[in-house]
Amino acid sequence: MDYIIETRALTKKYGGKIAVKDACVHLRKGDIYGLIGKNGAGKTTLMKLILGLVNKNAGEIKLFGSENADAGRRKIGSLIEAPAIYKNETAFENMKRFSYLAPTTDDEIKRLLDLVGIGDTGSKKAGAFSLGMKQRLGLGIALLGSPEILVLDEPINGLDPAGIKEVRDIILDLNAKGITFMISSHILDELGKIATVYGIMSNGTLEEITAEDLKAECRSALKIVVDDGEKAASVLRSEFPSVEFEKYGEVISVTTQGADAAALNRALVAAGVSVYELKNEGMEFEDYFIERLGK
Amino acid sequence: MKDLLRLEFRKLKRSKSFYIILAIMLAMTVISMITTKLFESFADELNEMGAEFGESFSTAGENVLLGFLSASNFSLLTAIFVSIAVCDDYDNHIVKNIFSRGYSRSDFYFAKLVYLIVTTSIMFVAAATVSAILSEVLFGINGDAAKIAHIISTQYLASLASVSLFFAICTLIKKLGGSIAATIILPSVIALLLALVDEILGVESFSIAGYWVSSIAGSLSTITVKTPDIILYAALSVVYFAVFTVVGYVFNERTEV
Repeated sequence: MDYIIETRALTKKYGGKIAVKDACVHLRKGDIYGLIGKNGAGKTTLMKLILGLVNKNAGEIKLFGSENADAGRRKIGSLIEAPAIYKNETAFENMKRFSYLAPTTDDEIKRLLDLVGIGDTGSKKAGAFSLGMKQRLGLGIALLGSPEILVLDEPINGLDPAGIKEVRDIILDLNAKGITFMISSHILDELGKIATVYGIMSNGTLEEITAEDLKAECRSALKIVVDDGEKAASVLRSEFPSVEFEKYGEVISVTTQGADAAALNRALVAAGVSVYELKNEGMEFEDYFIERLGK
Repeated sequence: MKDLLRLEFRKLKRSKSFYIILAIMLAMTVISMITTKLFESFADELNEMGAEFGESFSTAGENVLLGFLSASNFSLLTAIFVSIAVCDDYDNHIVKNIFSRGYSRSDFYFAKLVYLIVTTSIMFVAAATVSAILSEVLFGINGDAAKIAHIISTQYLASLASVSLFFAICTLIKKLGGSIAATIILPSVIALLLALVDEILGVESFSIAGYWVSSIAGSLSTITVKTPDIILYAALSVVYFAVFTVVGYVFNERTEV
């Protein structure tokens, strides 16, 4: 499998404290990699290591299949912590200044400013922007030079709900056009709507899981509350041998996905079992992550 | 590095600090020259007073010209300018955008160094030119023109050495306030420490403090400086420039943002 960002045993220490320990990142082209973790878990440090903003103590970083990371970074745009902007210049002037690092035409700069929603700021200096506007400008700067990867650290910080939706739509639109993303966020709900793979950071260690596997981990179970648990279990074993279930007293939890709830209900009732409750229950994403982050 | 040089020099057009500091430098040069002219009639009395401190008040045009670095407060003002020019990138997190785009720390360092050399050279030339014009007009410049040129050239090398020292300090500290304080105070502190060493060693014919980078400009502010000393100061300035550049480079390579 070709990864465009791949790290092996990446480690960073600050004095005696290990900020990132043996992190192995696998980011494929087209992924939206959601990096999740508590404050101080090491998310930003991991991103900084990939971007070369801090020096690693151990491990390897490969960008676009090459260990020449600086060459790979020319194709990466990023927004890490506070947006880096020239406060005494307008949004356009900021973009123009940074376009020396990532060649972009004036027309493209205007298009990017419109895309991130600050195309109408005119002569207003960036220092007078609200936090949300500065974030948008930072995003615009990250988009200069048509990067293939965007690394965004808490990109929806300071944005109102409408702004959050706008940024989400921008990310999905750009992803559809082939840009790969690595995004960190505390807002699980937002990441859950867009991420295709998750990196869960806890105390400097990284665990990865794809969206598909996460869905399977959080799969729902069919909960059936009956008057006679033994009889109900016997009926299910004899009439539905392929269905997997657990019995907890008078509660039957059917774990096979896609089990026909109506058929199960009919069979139980026909066998004289009273069914008091029949519903789908599952683990929410949030519960899954809280469980993992708490480890 | 070409991209970084373009980024740096685009800043120059809008760099208020450069134009303000240049204006202050030239204004102080003019004020100093006029003040010297006004005090010309008191020259003998001032020399009597200053003799105790080893200072001389000269209204010879060539000495007034060669004293322009002190008159313009060149060292102080370039320390402030270098601090602003370097720390602005760290305070506004601009270096994040530079490093994350794959530009190496060494490219960043040398592009910044080139920018600082060019801008402080402009300041030096401007201050020297204004000083030369006023010295000729107010006092008349006599003396060996070639020697004057050699001294000014060596002053230029010494000023570049100071700039590389300031750059190294700012690269280490990265904060504006601390950098301004350190670039102003540290050279003087080192000069004092070297003077202490001289006192301890007690060698009358040789002074280590006299060869420190911030002392060289003072030693070159009179036409009476001997040619072998000019050559020595020039060589020392080049060595200082190289050493401080390497030290700053090492600090820069370890930079984390």
